[in-house]
Amino acid sequence: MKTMGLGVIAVSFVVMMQGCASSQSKGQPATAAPPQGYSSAQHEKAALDDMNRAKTARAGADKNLEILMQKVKADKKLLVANNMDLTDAESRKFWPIYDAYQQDLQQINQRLGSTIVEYAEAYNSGPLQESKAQKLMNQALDAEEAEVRLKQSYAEKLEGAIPERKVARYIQIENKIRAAVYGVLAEQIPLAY
Amino acid sequence: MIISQNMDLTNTEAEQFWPIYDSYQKDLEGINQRIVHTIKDYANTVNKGPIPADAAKKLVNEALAEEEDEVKMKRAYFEKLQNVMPTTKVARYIQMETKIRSLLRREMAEQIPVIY
Repeated sequence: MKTMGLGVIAVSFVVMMQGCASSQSKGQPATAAPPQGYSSAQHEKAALDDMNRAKTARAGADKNLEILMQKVKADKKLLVANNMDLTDAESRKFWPIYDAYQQDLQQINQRLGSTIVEYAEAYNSGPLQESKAQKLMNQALDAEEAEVRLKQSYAEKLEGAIPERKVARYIQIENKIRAAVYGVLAEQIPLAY
Repeated sequence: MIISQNMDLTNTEAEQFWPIYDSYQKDLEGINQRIVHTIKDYANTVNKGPIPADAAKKLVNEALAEEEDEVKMKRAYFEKLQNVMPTTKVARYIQMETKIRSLLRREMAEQIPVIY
């Protein structure tokens, strides 16, 4: 029986919050979550063990996850800061917009996260129902659309605040990070059957 | 090939699926060409020295428009496919398409240097 392990979900969450695929936090999800890797054929017992371990470890893991996410958030900010070469005047305008953007992105991450959890629950409880497939697909497409629109609106906001070429650079950096996130999600999440 | 192996289509479904798939691929090809065009423009501008503000703005706008069109296209084809086969299979197909596109985007993001 194929199951989508809790590890996959936890890793997905961490990855979504992850600042940069190459930052030091890359190897850490395993410490905050039970070992992952149940996306392909894996026997039931191991999956159950995994779940039980996850349950007992949950309180601690939640705390670790929280610490990890804070670190990831800081790493991302540092990465952006290091690449932007902002003057003092630009900094004063840029960072409040950046922070607002991250907060809005965070909401999209949470929507994606709960969609993944819902999918995992459905996936692990047998063949996917039509209505469930429809609902989940719509949620995923909504989140994707919202993210593009958000990016457009923040690109416009930034255009009024810092030079155009720095706006372009920032959007590129943000794209790199999101592309890494989506790449990992695509690899981790099993196909619907 | 990857798609057909994972889709488990019945004959009736296959008859309806593949023409829609082909038209989707053709539309995606249109987006790919726009992306390639944007990247070439970018490379040409960058090689000439510091990027002018209007060129930077144009590049950002083009890249964002392509992204938006691609998402809209995905939704449109999701809806079209729902008329011809079970939603579970449509969802599976969209997942595969998303996987392939996200790997492509990651590849591009890694390859294209940041504007300076």
